[in-house]
Order: sequence, then C-alpha cells, then structure tokens
Amino acid sequence: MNTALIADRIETFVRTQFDVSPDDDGFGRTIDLFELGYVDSVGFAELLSFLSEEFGVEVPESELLSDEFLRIEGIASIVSRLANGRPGRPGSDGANGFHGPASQAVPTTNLPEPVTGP
Amino acid sequence: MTAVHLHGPLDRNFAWDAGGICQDVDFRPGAELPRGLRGAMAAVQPGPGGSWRVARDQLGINKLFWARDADGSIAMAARPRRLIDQGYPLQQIAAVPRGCVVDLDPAASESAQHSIVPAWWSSAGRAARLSPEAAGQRVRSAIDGYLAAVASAHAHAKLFVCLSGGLDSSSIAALACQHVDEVVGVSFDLRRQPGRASEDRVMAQRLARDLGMPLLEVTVDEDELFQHLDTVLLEGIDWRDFNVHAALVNAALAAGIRGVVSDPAAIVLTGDLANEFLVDYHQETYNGRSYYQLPRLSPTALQTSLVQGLDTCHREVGIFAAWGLGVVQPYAVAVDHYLALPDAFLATENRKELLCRAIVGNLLPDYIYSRPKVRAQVGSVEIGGGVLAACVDRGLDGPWLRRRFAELHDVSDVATLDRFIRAGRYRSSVPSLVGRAA
Repeated sequence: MNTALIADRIETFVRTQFDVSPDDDGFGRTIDLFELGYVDSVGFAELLSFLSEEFGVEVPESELLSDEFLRIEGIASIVSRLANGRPGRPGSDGANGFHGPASQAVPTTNLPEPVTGP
Repeated sequence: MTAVHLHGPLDRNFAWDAGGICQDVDFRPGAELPRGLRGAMAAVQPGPGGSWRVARDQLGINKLFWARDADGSIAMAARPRRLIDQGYPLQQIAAVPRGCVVDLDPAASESAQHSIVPAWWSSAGRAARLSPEAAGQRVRSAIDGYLAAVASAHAHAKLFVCLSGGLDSSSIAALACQHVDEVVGVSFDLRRQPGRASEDRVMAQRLARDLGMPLLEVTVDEDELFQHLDTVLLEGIDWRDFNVHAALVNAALAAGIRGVVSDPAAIVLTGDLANEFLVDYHQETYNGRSYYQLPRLSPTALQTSLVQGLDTCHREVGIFAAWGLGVVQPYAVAVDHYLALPDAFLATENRKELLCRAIVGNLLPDYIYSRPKVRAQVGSVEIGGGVLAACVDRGLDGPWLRRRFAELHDVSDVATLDRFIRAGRYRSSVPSLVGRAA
C-alpha cells in the first residue's frame, strides 16, 4: 500500500475517532495533531491500536516520540516504512518490544508454556 | 577509558525462570540471552575487552535511562534525575527499550541488539488462547514457583505484603503464606473522622486475622501523605495523576515499613500488574469531573496498551526503592498466561473473581471474592474520597503535577514533557557506541 492511501485511512480514522468536523478548515494532514488539540496522549494510544489492527505494524517508541509522528503525513510515512520493513530513524530497531508482525503469532496448537516448574 | 558510566544504583533484580532468581552473571556479555526470564530486571554489566551488556525486562518494570556524552561514551542511570545531576538535560535522556538486550563493544562498528519480548505478545499477533481455568492453573503454578524461589534466595530478608483486602493483594498474601514462614501484611489508610476506618482497612484486618498474618497499619493524614510528593515525582518518574496517586499510597506504606524495620534486604510483595493484565481499570468521577481516562479500545487492545504502559512510570518499584525496599510483583512471572486469555473473557464483568478462584481457590474466604472493588486512590462512598480527592481539593491536579515534575527535572518549557512521555510510553532508544572517540 502506498503512503497516500495509508494517509487516507489514518485521516478517516482521526476524523471519526476524535470528532473532527468536516467544516474544520484548520484540520489537515500536515498540522500538529497534538499541539492543536485534536489528539491527546490517550488518543495517541487509540491511534497506535488502530495502526496495529489496520496495518499490522507496531510503532516503536523512537518513532512514537518523534516530531514526524505528530502529523498524519508523517505517521503515514512511518507506517509505510514499518509495513515494508524499511529501516526507520536511528534507534528504531524493533527491540522495543511488542514489535512483531502478525505472521509471528503463536499458533493455537502451540500455546505458551508456563515459565515454571511444577 | 570505560565507554559506559553507571550513575547510582540500579533497582534490585527479581527476575526468575524455572531455574531460579537471576544473578548478575546472567547478564554478562556472552551469556545466553535471558529470553525465559520473567519479572523485574535491569542490568549494566561489564565484560572482557571493555565490552558491556545492557538489558531490561520485557515489561519494563525496572527502569534504565541513558544519555550520550560528547565523546560518544554512554551515561546510564535508573532515574533521569541522576543523569540530569551529571549535566545531561532531560531532552537528551532516553529510556532503554523494554525487553532490550544490547551488547556494546568499543571495538565493533555496531552494537548487537536483541529483543527478548515474545513476538506473540503484540495484540496483532495474539493467536494463542487459554481457557480461564487453564490460565488460572498456569498462573498459580508460575507464582508458586516464583514465591518459592524468592523465599529460598532471600531466606533471611524481612517480607511484607501490601494488603488492601482486594482480590489481587489478598491472593498474593494467601499464596505468600504458603511459601514463607513469616510475612507481614501492610495496610494503608488516610486518616479521616476519628474512629472511622476505610473499608480497605477493615477488610485487611479481617483477612490478616484469618490468614494468621501480622498486620502493620499505616494511617497518615493529608500533610503526611503530601510530604512525599517530590520523592514520588522523582522516583516514580511520572506526573500523570493516577500514577502519582498510587505512588503516594506506596510512599506512605514504604515510610511506614521503614518505621518498624531497618533490614536493608527487606522485600515488599505486591498485587500490582493484575489490573493491567485483566484490564481492570475505570474512569473515575470526583466533583463532577472525570479522572483516569482510558483509551477507547477493545478489551484485548486495551490490555496490550496497559501492559505496554507498564514500561512507563515507576510507582511501585521506584517508590519503595526510595526507602531501600525491594519489590516483588509475583503476577509479573505469569504475564504469558494473562496475555493468552480470550477477548470475550476480558470483557466479562466478574473476570477477576473467576480467574482468582481458578488461581487461589479456597485459600481466600468468600467475603474477599464478593467484595466490591475499592481503590485506595479513590476512596469509597461511605467514607469519602481518597488520595484523588485530597489532591484535587488542594489544587494538586494534573497540570500542577506536570509543572512540578518539570521543575524537579530542570525543564523550563513544560511542553518538552510531551516528548518524554507520549501515549503512555517513555521516549526510548537503543544505546550505541557508534561514533565514539577512540
């Protein structure tokens, strides 16, 4: 999926989830969602969950805390990079935990073994 | 010259695998990756040839922060304030990612980095499912093994268990009694009208009596509670109101414990993490305003978000550590089994009661199972507001806590904090020696 299509879907989600009026001229793909009050810290958690379910990507903290992640265009670029397995910014190494594609799911026949003895 | 400088002590490690409680040697460069460990752990260990291994547990329970020096060497500490004291501004400080193991070799051009977080933990990859009964049995087995290992490894340490009379702490107290000769319950209460104890206190007294457990009653007034506020913001590494309120309760408990015991090896068991694992949080209302807002997500997605959020905030381990107390959170070793619970179960109203019955069964009396939930931060209708109300009534609301956190970390522009914690996550990146001067 290309970055523009990803941005379309993110914009639709943000408009719906955070009640952005269709008449809101101040809203757009290049504005700072956080600074302008469209999405707060809790809202970003909702956005992260959407990105995980919609695109199968887990956004590492190094991307989440970047300036790029504050704008729809930037978020779309990050998602595109992650979905295509391209390297992100320095430090976005995939070691941030919870960072595995859906294909790494444990099959139901292979439930996690207890990490205990008896 | 060494490439890594550690400033101040790390939090105590209590991580465990079926073989026992972890040791420092488990984290030396060249040791096998500690993928099977569960529970609190952070390590900065030297190896031969100036190499280092840096590691953090999968849930991010123990904290570890770092900043890069001008010469490319790395400064590390368990609290951001310790790095600020060394001259690094908060804006340059990042957390080591949870579940990250990094081998730093001054002679190598790149760091070797690994994630020890199971890939299936992400909600997108959560195909594994356990019935509540099976999960309960596995949780019990894990906690039994863990508590036995803790009791063996710390046979001479004084043990305490935080006891609110709720299901989580009561279950840990009941299980601890199975493995430890003497464990002392600790109960928090906020002093109100004379003679009126909170429901938590009454329930803790009753359960302690039934378990044959001594009970240390810590009762503080608001002034005593708030004298710990700066400590809570510094050691708890968070300004968000829920976490500050919980940390204030823990600070009072820690001070209370230190008032009766000087044992430097003393350990506090807590029932923390079960609320995140079972998505047992709710928005609260006080004086017509809402507090403790949660993301609007499906149960499994919310569970993932809450569990990821454990990485951020040190309201238990950090606070007790400020009084020299180690914290053991037994539910941590059972995280895999909680994450394998079905979405439908996580949406069940009485999920905690059902699962606790599967975990501890009749070790707990029925009055604990049937008790409505009360949070120490929130208080109850009968007795009045708890720490939340006390804070709000004094004007110590969210914006005030944020400003105070900024002041304590030498941050003049409060907006800077939005780049330190966002969506419940610390800014984090993997330490590297790349670019270090020879």
